[in-house]
Amino acid sequence: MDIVSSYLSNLMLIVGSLFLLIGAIGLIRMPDVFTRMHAASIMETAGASLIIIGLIINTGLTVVSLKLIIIMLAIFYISSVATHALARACIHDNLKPNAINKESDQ
Amino acid sequence: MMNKYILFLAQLFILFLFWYLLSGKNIVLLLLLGVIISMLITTYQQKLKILDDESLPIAILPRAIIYWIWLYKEILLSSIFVSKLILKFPLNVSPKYFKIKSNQKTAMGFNIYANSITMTPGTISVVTNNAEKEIKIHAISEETKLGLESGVMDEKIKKLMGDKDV
Repeated sequence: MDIVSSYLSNLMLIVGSLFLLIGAIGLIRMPDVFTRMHAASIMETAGASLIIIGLIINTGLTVVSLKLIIIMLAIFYISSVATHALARACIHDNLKPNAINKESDQ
Repeated sequence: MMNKYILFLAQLFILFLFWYLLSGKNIVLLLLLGVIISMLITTYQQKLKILDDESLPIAILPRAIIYWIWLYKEILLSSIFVSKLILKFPLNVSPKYFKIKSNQKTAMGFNIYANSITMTPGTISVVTNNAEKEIKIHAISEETKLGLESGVMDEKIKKLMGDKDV
């Protein structure tokens, strides 16, 4: 049982880190602000949550794991609000997304 | 509308749980201080009349847990989709910017809908209009746009909010 949970938590940590790496690559490769935000949202949802779930499985049911759950909920709420605020600020600043300028693939 | 006393007790319990989790010690003095401070905060909140169904939606909590599990599954699926898009060698993205109409009746349902759209990778809600119940959305590709326009998430949130129509 101990071995199973340690393998499971390691798997979760590795997959979460992979999502973080892919998000970072996407942040560089994407053409404009809005598409870069899509890449960043992989990091802050799938990447962060999988790493935290891996840590929860690793520690077991203690006070620490409950604190980790609070951190995960906070990351979910804060990141979605921050992404929306950033996107809205871009539109407010007359920064048009590529999708409007030309209906072609970059 | 939830009963005033139930809301009071629920808020007291949540605040005390938060206190206990962050301290993590079973010392009588700390626990007593926690009870007193949660009591003070909750009483003050009720005095300001900000303790209501909207600030503490415990009525929808059991259905919300089912919804969160579904949303998490959606997040993982669309993360994999966007990851594939990023790792394709000749980068080929054709973003879409469009308007969508929601069937939500309450402000909270609309808020949950817009937040869920932003949380799912591949779609971002850019401008929201609560009066018209319209959201302007930036999607990274045609597939995520179609997935949103099918209206599955909208229906799920309507079910989550229950029969409330204010």
